[in-house]
Amino acid sequence: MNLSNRINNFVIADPDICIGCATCMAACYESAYERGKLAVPRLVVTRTASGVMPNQCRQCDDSPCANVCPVGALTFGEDYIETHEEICIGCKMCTLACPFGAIRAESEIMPSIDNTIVPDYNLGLESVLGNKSVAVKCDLCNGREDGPACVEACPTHALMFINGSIMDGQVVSQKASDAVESFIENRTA
Amino acid sequence: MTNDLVEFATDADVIFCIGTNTSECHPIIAMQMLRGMKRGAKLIVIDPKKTDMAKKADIFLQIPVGANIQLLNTIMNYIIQNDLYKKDFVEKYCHGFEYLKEAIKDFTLERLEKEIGADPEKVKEIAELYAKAPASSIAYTMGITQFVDGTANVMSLSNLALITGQIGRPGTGINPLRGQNNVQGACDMGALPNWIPAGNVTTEYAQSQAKKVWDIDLNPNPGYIMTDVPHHIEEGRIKLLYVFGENPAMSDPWTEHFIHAVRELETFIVQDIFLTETAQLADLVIPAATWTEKEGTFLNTSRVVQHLAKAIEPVAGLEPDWKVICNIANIMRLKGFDFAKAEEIWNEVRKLAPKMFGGISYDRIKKEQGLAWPCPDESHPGTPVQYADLKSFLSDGKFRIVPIGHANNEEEREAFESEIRKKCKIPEDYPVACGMPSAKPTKVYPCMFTTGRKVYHYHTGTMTRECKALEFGADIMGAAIEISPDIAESQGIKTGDYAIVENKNGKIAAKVFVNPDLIEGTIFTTFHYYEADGNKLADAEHKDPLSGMNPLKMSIAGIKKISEEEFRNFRIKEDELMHPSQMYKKVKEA
Repeated sequence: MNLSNRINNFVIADPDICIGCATCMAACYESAYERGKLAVPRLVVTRTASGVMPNQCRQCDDSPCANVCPVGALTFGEDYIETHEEICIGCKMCTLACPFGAIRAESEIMPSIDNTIVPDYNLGLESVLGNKSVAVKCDLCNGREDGPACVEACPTHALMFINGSIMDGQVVSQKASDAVESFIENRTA
Repeated sequence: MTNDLVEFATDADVIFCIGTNTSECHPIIAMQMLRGMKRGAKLIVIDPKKTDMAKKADIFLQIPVGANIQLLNTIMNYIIQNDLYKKDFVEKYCHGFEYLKEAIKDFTLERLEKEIGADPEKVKEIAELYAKAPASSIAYTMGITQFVDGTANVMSLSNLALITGQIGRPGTGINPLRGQNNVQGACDMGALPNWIPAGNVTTEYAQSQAKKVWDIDLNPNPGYIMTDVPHHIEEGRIKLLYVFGENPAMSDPWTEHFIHAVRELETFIVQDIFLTETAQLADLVIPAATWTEKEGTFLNTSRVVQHLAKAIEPVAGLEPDWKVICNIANIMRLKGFDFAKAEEIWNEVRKLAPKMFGGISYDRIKKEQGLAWPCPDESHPGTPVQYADLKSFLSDGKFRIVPIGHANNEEEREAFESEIRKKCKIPEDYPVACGMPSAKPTKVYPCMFTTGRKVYHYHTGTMTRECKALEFGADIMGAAIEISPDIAESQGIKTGDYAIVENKNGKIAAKVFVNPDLIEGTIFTTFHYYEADGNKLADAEHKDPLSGMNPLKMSIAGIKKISEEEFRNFRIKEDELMHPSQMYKKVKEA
């Protein structure tokens, strides 16, 4: 059994290197817009008492969101959890099920409406907006040639793209051999 | 900056950040600092807000807004009392150490703890770390300068660097992180009321250089400072205002006053790339070329002159700003504006200030990717580390240590300064300074009010808010009023509620975000959004006596929860005030 064939790909940041500059969010917006998806960022730079880093979908292998989706808008893809915005009914069950707060209901301001003229639309008041929401989460920039835009844009290289073979080789095997080596060395010393 | 920004990564052993939210306001410099930390440098952060850098810091000290002098004097007193200062450096290269020693001897750790609640152990640790390290670097920004005692704050930092000898070597120095790519350049080029590239207009050197290069008798009287402009307009001394590359309707304190004042101008001209809030008040708007359409030089925070190449031709036959100014001057039949290209203007600057820029030719900056001034001749390598010869710019070449006291309010300033003078037996011609709060919470306005930036927007958002990836991508928070948890509790306000913040200068309304990173009793907001511009509430009356700076970072205000309905009505009125132009709406619709 080869681990690399059995896990989903995902994007994650190193909070020690992240400076919270939100360039990833701008890149994410651009990528979503270019790929014809709802133009909102799918990862959110989150500030907490202990530090800052972007938070996004972990592409769980047995993902609660895909399990709970009643219409198949979230499905188990080959190596990530796929989203199909066009069939989402906006029931928000995935938002409740996600343990990471990485999937949320979002709607786009209508492009024809200029919020500098119609200020109501920029207020973020749901009563005024009245748009149907759609579940958005990281789709690893599916369809984008160079892979996730956030990883490419990150100026400090805090964001990493991790797939099965990286997990297998650089993470698991490497850490395992480091641990064994250190154990043996310390024991003989 | 006395040193190059890369030295945070390569040389500094201790990085002392005070009054700077570095990762949000200067992300590139924050990256250099993090590289330094990876190398083993220690990071000290002192701020009223627990910023992202504070969370990464080795030591973080949270102090109230405007408590810089009390803290810095205490640190210096501890350093002196415990013999951590550099005796030989102070004796050989500085004046005034004895004055300082005497002036700050009452600033004890116990007093500081009582006055601002700073943990004495942390202050000790900061003092020892900074003084003992082989190379300690100070970084500061507007949390130091935008106060009525801003210049005294800066002098305090310079005192700290001098008594510990942390200057003149790589990775040391006093480093103001400048906000724009060319703000150092704008100052050096003379975009100040008292300055031409050859120096202060009152000096003989500037006078003789102006005569030599421009063939004019330079007016030796400095012009009006910017913070006084609305007042001078109202009094009829300024009749025409020509603004370019700036949005003072949002960036100046006490917005209502500014908007009221410019209506009294005879002529108001604005030159910008967008129809900004200021441009909408203007009689004449001149469209400007953007930075990608212009060729010239930038002079960055490290004093490095860099070349900027033009990427595209300006659209619609627009001309770069220098050309627009020359065109106007030529129509006015002024002499000396016959430039064909930006390089010729730069060469005139080199002639005006040969000691600074003489060796910085276009050829060299293109080839060597920038040169730091001073660079007097073409064989000079530039000066990334200033004061390496341990000589100041003053005539005797010695550094001045300025004794600084701390008064309770502005009225006491002069009396306090002369008292220090008497107490420490300081001669009349030696500089003395004094710090003090410009505002204290009252019953009506019980909270401290301060402003700052968010990483995804720049200043008044003239450009960044037009960029959809930033406005709708990076910024999903929008205009917000941030309050400390104790205010939230006492006023019964939660995150997501709407609130109005008010003081005698104005009021703003926005969604509330309860931010545990703020020190207690503090309201924080940005100046990016016309919807809720923090500068509306800023104090425009009080000023730093030397620089004329208003205390933008220190006001008092009250806060009240409002309903969604009240908020909507407020916002619509706000929009009408800030965007009065019918043309704006037409351009936007097209």
